[in-house]
Amino acid sequence: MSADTAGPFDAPSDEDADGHLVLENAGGLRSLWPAWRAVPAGWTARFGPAPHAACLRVVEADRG
Amino acid sequence: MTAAVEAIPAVLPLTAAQSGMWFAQALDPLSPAQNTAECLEIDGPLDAALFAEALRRVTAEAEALRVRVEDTPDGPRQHLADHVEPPLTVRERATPAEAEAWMRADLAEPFDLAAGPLFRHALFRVGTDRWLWYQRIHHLVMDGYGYSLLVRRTAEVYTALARGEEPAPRSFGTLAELVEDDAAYRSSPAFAADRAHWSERFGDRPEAPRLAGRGALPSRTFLRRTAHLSPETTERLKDLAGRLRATWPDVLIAAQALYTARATARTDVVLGLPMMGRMGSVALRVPGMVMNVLPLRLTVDPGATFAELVRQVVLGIREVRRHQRYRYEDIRRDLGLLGESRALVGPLVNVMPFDYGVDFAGAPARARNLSAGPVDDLTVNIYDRADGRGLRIDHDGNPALYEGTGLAAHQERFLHLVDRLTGTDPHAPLAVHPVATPAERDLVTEEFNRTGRALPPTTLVGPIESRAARTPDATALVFRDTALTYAELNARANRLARHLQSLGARPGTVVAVSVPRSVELVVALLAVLKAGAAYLPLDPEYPAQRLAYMLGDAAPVCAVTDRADRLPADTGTEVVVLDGLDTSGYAWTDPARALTPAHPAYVIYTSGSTGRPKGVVVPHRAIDNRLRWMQAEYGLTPDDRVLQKTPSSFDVSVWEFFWPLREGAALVVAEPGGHKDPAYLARLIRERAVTTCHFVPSMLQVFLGAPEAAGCADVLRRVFCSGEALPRETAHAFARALPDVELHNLYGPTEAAVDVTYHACDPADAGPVPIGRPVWNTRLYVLDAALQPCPPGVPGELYLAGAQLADGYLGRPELNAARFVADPFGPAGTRMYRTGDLARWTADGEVEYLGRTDHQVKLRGQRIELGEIEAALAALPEVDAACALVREDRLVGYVTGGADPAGVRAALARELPEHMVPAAVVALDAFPLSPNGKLDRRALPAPVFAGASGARPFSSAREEALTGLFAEVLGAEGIGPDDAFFDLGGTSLLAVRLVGRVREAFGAELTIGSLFEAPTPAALAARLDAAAPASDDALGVVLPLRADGEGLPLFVIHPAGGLAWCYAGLAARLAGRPVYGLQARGLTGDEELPRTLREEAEDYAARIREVQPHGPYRLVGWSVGGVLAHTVAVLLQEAGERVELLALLDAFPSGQWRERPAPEEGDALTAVLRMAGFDRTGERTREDVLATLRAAGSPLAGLTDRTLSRIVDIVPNHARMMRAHEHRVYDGDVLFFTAAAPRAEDWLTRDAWRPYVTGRIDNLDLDCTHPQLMRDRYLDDIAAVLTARLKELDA
Repeated sequence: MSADTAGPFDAPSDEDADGHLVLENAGGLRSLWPAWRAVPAGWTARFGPAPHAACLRVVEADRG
Repeated sequence: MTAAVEAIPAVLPLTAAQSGMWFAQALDPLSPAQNTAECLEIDGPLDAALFAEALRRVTAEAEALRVRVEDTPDGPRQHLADHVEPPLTVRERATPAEAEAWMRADLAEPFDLAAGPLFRHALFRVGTDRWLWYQRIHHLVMDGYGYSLLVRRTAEVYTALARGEEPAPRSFGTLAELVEDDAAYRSSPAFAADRAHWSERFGDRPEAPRLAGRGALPSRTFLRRTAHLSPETTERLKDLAGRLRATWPDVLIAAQALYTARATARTDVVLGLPMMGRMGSVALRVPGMVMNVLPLRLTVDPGATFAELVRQVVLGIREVRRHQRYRYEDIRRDLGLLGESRALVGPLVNVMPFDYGVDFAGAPARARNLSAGPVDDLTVNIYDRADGRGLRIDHDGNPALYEGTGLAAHQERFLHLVDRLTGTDPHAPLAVHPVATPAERDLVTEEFNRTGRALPPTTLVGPIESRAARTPDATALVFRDTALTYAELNARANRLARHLQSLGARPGTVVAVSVPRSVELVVALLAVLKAGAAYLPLDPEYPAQRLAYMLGDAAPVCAVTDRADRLPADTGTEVVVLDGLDTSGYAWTDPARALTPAHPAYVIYTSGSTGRPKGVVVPHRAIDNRLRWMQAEYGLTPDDRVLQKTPSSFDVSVWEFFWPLREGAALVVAEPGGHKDPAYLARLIRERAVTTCHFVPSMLQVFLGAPEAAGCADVLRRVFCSGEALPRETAHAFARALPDVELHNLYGPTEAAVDVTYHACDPADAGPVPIGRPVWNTRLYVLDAALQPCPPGVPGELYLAGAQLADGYLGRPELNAARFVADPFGPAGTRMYRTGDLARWTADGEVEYLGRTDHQVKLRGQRIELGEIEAALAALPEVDAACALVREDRLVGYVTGGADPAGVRAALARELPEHMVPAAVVALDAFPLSPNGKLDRRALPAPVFAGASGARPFSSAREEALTGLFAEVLGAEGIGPDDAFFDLGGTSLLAVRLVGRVREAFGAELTIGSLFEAPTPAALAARLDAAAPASDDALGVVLPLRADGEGLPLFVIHPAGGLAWCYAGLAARLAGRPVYGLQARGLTGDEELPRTLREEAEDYAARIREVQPHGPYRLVGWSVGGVLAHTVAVLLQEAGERVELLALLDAFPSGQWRERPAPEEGDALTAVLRMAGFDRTGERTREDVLATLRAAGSPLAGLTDRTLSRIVDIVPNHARMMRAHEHRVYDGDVLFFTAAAPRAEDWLTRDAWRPYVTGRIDNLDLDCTHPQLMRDRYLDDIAAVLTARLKELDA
């Protein structure tokens, strides 16, 4: 989590790793989420596990 | 063992392993930290006399016990004695408590390496058939494995003797073999291969993970906390190890790595593993010091499983073993860490495999370690004693880093974690394991966040309208000569709001406002809110390109400006120009609108890391919560006045504008640009009776430095700080300048409605100022890399949740998904905002800010993403790659490619706001890379800022003198105050010399360890200052500028101000000679000032004779100091002493001054400036003078007020005494130095000395003014002439 290490929401050093999910809540808000952490209550996985960049692309593509 | 050993050399060098220990002891000769000790509990009868005999025999067999170590010019040598009588204390009757107390006391005794013996024994009978055998051995001669050899042999010999038999012969290996073995290894190819291995493995020089968040020198003692892993957990641990095809120590090391990674917020952790170091070498037969500590590097990824981590440990240890003879100190030296005093490893995990299982003639014995040697940081000792109690675990901590409770918490969490790990599927991700105990987890997520408060569903603007209806005639706003009542403000804003509504402004839309600070700005912002829209502030100072971007991005329905040309013409946004706008046709009443708390209230742009600024959309609900909390906490009343000085594009301005208007208080609006002018602000606060205002801490510092600030003490009630870390010194300075004013530290990002935490500063507090507790309906989480809560004290990333979260970034769904993420601790389906700030909880529920996790920086309170600067740089033509960072509080850009740095800077200034334009741009051929191919930011060259000279001036006499000592010891030239000793080729031996010289010169207790922690003259000076405040020793009558050295001392006498610090530069140039300064009495206290120069000179003559009882004397004086030196010389000669050198630096006899008026206090200020080498220019007051000194980094600026005010007395007193003084005749020659630049006092002539000097007056003209004489350039010449004369005199 120091400046030179990837945090849970950053792209990992292995960019192709299927490390992230895209979650959605009842209000339609999206959240990136690390695949290794349990999905919090009130949120549902909509996409993934997939690479970080792929998850962001999915969120961007769904832009209203 | 071969016959060749017969010629045992009595003197041996040390092995590399021993050298490390020797050096550690030399750091602090009286430290007992190098003691190792063990206690054997023997159950059964024991014959003390036989036992003593056994010890005698073993001592005769084990060479290591018979050495002492002497320091010689060639380095330390171990002397081997033929016979040493083992020191043994026997207590036939002792309680276990008495025995423990004795052992504890003994353990605190240091050994004298040069005297020896380096071990001692004690035997206690603590029961009928129960004995304790205690032995303490210096670590330089014995390690843990060596203990096991000694204990086994002692048991063997005792058992034989008890049976009346002669013990079987036993031959330990010799020390000579160890030394040879060591030397052979160090010249072998294996050594080179090992070195290459370690250099490659750690070439990127990882940070050592520090549980305490910092390092420290080893202390003389350590804290120990002992616990046991329950027999059940121990059983499960061994079972788990078996399933993972590992040993239980492997599993515990993996657990410690996991704990360390999480507790230090790192994924790359390096643990220290003490290694026996004897694999396959002759050393297996030698009781001695061979052990080594080696780094085990592990990657602890929250997504990896524990099974994978254990596998990493197994493979890692295998690799470490292959290179285990290479010394830890050598690895650090190879990596250049020694010089930076950086550790390589974090906690040590010391698995003690030695269970002796010995008996003494049938009486079984169990060993208990009492001390395993010095503890640098934290050592976890683990013993498997097979006594059915489970594993014993000692946490040994350096008391400089850990307190008892902190150490206990680390141990408790570690035990909890081991317990969890042994009971959980090892193939689950590591992220399922929190390091906090369940109780801690509840504390930090729930207890500390109990902030729930039910609030009415209002908006930002609703309460302002109700207030205007209730108190229409109260003053709402003051700007220049204009004051508006609530009714007037409300009516103007309502009319404009209706106009904006006619243009399409309504809830859910955005209206831009670009108006300089004025009445119109307040009216416009309020009007936008009243219309129901969100306002978008656009700073009129921003470059057109950025304004155009924001207008395009936010797509406002219109933009309100004060005049027509405020905004770029071609954006397509409809512009409402206030100048000339007639809204009188609209109704003055509150306009209707369908506004709810969920609608956006404002959109504020912040720096974006990808190169585009991002608009944060904050809903009414969030800012309403924030202002309701603020009112409840600080209770603004209608007689309060709030200063509005923050630019509207920064969110602090939101509460400045609207909090007072909601509460019936008045808003005092500062001039545009006025927020940067402390004197103006102070005047405004005083004249307009402002009670409440905000400062960014760096601006607060500037404000407090302004002489006018203190004048605000009577009117101000409270000051809020936010925007960057508030230094404690600033808080203290605040309390001194504004004693009865409250100071509140607030924290929060724009993304959470201005502020989410608060802390009231108490002048009595020390340490970092916390950012405090959460505000209403707000939750804070400090989470580790696995998104698990960090316990108090453990750093992690700060996340925010609750009512104040922004809706998100305008039109940036991917950023929203990555920054506003699912909250695993709050109500179902809610979000938390990831701040990117590193923070930790205190034990009582406040948060401390520690820094950033990314490349966002704050400069003077303004948030800057370095990524945005980098993107802007890289987008320029001819820039290939770019990087930006902050150095010494200034933004610096680095570029490769063919671009011209000045052009790059100019181009950026057209695109970015002023605060985001680098102060310097450096063009490089290529970026420096670390061994793993990443950009090595630390290796980027420092830019040369315009106007800055090369090396900075010395900031104190001590710093200058220390720099001289560095140069002398290192035999190097051109050393600056910020050069590190070890970077300049300093070795351990030179370090010993330097420390000796510093001790002599300053009488300061300094260890070599201090030199590692403070390796530059500047750092060392600061350390010495901290140990003994400068006021204590740098203001005495005799100031030893260099107390030792060859030859007779030189006495240098102060100029008019009374300080002799100015001679430090001269002393530095007279290498190797003792130099003493003489300083005026009364600098520190209330001592009476002398009445005549003669009285003063008599005093100095006496002090000089205390240093050097008899002549010949050598005297130097600058200015008044020259007049004094002449007088002292005459007095010494009259007392029958010889004076062989009298050097006068631009000093003129009293007769030349007599007819001239004596200076007053004003001139004393000139003298203070002159003492610092400045000619007075525009400085009018004492404060002006101090400001000049501070700005120039002069050490005089650091003097206390008391001393400065004494100097202001001392200067005119000297002027008065000068004029009354009558010179007598000095018998001898004078060396004169003239500051030959034209001067106002053109009547001064050195020839006036003729009547008072019998010999020659040799003169050297220097092309400078009187105050410039002590500058480096001229000192070089002066020192050259003085040195030549001194050499003649020496000969």
